[in-house]
Amino acid sequence: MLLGALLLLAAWPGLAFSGDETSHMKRRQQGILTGMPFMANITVRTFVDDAGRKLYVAKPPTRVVSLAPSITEMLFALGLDEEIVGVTEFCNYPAAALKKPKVGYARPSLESLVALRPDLIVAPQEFLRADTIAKLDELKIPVFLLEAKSVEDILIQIQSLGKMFNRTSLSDAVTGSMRARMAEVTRRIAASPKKRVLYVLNSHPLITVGPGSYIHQMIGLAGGINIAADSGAAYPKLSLETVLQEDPEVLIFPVGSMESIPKNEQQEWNRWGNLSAVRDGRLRDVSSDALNRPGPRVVEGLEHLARAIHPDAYLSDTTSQRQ
Amino acid sequence: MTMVTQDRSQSAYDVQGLNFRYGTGSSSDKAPWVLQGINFCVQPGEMLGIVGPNGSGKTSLLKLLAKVTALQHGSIALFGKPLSHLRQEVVARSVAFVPQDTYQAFPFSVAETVLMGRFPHRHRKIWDLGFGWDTSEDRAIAQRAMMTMDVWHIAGRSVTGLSGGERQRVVIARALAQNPEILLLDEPTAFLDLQHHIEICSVLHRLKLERQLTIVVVSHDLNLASEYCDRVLLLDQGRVFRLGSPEDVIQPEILRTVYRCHVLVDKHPMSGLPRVTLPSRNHQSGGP
Amino acid sequence: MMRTSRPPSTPPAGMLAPSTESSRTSPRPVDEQLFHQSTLTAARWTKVIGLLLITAIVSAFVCLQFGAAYIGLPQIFHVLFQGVAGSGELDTTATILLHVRLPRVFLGFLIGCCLASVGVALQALLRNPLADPYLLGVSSGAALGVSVAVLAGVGTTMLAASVLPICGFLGSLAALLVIYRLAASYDRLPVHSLLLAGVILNAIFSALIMFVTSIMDPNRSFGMMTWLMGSLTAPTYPGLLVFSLYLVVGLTLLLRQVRVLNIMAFGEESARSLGIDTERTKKYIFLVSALMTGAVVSVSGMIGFIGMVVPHAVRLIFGADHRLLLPAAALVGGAFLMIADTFARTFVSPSELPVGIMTALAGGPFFIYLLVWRKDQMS
Repeated sequence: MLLGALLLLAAWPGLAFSGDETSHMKRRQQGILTGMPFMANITVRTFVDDAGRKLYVAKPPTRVVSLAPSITEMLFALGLDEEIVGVTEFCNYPAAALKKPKVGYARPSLESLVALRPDLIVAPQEFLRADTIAKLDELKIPVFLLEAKSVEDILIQIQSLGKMFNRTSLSDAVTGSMRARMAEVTRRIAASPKKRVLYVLNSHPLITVGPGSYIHQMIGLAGGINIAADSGAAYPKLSLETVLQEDPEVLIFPVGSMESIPKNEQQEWNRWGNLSAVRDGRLRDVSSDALNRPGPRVVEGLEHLARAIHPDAYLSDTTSQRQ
Repeated sequence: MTMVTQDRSQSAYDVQGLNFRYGTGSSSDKAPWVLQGINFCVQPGEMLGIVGPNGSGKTSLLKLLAKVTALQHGSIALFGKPLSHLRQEVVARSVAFVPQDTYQAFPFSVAETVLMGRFPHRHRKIWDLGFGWDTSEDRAIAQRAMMTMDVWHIAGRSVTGLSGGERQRVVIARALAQNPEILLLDEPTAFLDLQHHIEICSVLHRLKLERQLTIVVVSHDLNLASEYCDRVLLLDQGRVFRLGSPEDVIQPEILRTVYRCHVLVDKHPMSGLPRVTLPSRNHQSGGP
Repeated sequence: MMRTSRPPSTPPAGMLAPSTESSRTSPRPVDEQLFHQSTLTAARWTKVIGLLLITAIVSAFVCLQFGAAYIGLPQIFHVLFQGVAGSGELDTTATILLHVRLPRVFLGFLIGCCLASVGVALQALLRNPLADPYLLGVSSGAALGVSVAVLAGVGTTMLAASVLPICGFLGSLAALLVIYRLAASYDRLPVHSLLLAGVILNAIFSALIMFVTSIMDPNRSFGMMTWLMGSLTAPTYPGLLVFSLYLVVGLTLLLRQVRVLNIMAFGEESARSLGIDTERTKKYIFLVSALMTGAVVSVSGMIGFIGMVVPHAVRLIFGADHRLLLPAAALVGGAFLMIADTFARTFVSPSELPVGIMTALAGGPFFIYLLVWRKDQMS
């Protein structure tokens, strides 16, 4: 009986810490790559974000804060230069983002968020703490959470944001152009045989991408076979044994301003002379700014990947197709 | 405020059929008996000495009398009331226990330590938060106890910085501050120098006379027992070997049996009571 | 506040022989001054607690000024009156102050209070001036509860902010049960078993926590690790209210035992001889401490140092009497955490540091200073 009372007492602190109780409107299944994203909105002005939270946006927000570089790029792509009032310190594209006021990235200061008086905050789902969200709910500041498990997710997000801000023409244009470029990539590498790829997200420990990560999907789209395709997680840690066993033909290293695999770590792979990738000298860099950001430039990343995996498919146009 | 009313017609302690060993549950089945078949009484106002070789169960017996250790078999009656039925705090108002080990890790002052002896006598009001401040009566009693035990001059010092002997006197003062009717002491003179050794013995004697205090002392010092105790209880391997006046108990053959060594027993020139002397080094084996 | 050991005004040490004088003559008047200097009196208690209370309040107001943007004192008072009067719309500054900064500072104070108080109680219980609330093992139980919940994806869906602390608290309850079963034997709670059980459980749970963190999504595990280091965030007011009530009850329960703690510090045998039911007391203190620690860790992770250093430091300065030590340590712990958290949220603005880092960095050197000063004092 004491235990029952204790458990009841236990429930109180937790329950009392709740934010708004958001309903269980899960995201509906989106259409396939060529199809139309449907059901991402419920009514015209109600949106569901990737955490299942429902958001009613009566009119287009005029002060929006972005909590991730990818989101900043999306918002700028929708022509929302005026409306953006806060970005993270890592947001460096486009150049106009550098001039915007900064809030923290992984642990944003709640005070600086509130001080910007936003009427919308768009944030990546994985970093934001539950109690920060609860506090923002209490202060009636809408928070829209994004998480991209596939490239299609990114396209849907851009469309949703476009609808939210009444910039559907722009969002259509952006997504249209992205689809076109993706289709172009598919066309180019169609003839080439698929190659086994290892995408090195981190060297020590060895972390790569797996099913659930949009990068994994892009590897497939770029004509590669991710050797970590069987792993259960989105960002699995692979053992070196597995890598040697799977024998990738291409090693891909993201390089860029934020996350980057330094040259010396890349050279370490030369130890394994019997890896096809090392033997054939296929250690390639790709732009991490483009790839590791699930934003509009992700197609750029896709093109990089395709070039890295199937350079022969792009031999014909060394001068054209600049990024 | 309930206390164990001192009924003078009753024994202070009445111990019947006491058995004790350490360990609980399954582990205790293999443990040896520390005390077996103990029967004796302690008369109010008397000073009883418990003596015996190491391991004879002296300290365990004292702790059982103080209710510091829980009773297992047998019965102990405190002024006629069964000890196991009495609450710890009720016992503490009548019985004070002075342990042998007085180590302290925290920097309490001597005065604070002695004042803790007043804890069993605190008045509890419903509204106080469990706090309670010392009354002037408490302070008066504590001061007197500290003066009696000659620690008044170090009343402000931290107990962590005291010598073993000073600490011992502080703890005895604490017991005196408890204003008990029965005082139980475990080797009270173990760390005391000659001067304080004599002092404390006279203090105990005086308290016994003035306040009709009942005193039970565990000591390895047979001469102390002889000189100051009305009766002596000799324990051997957990059993009562002899109980009686010092003359009855402190005899050479008895001591040889229990202590397995030869000692000289003569009469103290001043009191006529038995006096134990170790044989000289030239006459180690055998006695006169 | 230091107690001096000056000899009493009454006659010299020569007053030995249990001469019949002292008993036959009228009792000597009580040397009140000596007692005032060498023991805790109500007067001294009031002075010290009053001083610390004022310090805490002043610290609170200092902490309220700093954050992402500086807010001056006059404005703070204005906003506070506004908030209390409930008058109309709040501007941004007022919102920040009333809804973000104030609840967070208050939470910091509360958690600091509780960690320090539990530290005091446990140091008395375990008779060790270096004991810490996390020795019990419930803290790692709470941390494991939260880690598992995050791994299961609880923290990313709805109701997250409420469910995570619940999971943590359930974890701490589980740990509590295990420790009790391990340590208790035949209705008794031996202190050394308690310590051992706590240490073992901490080791096992820490390993489990590391396991959970390693198989977690790297994005989440980053958040997990920073939470584990101990961090505060602005709670919602309903949540703060419930949490406060819970902790205040716990604090009161501990305060009621201060005199008992004084005596428990002398050892269980002495305590029993002075009338204390030691088994019941041990279970009581253990239970209250564990429940408070579990709740605190569930909400804010493992904020270290306060539970051990603050009680020890306060004892060195103000003495060992728990009637003063417990409330004083609570006030000092609360103020300390408020200040540490202020640094944590301004040092790398606009980002934040986990407050556990600040407490360790501040607590360590201060403690060293105190030990050195004390050592010189004694010798």
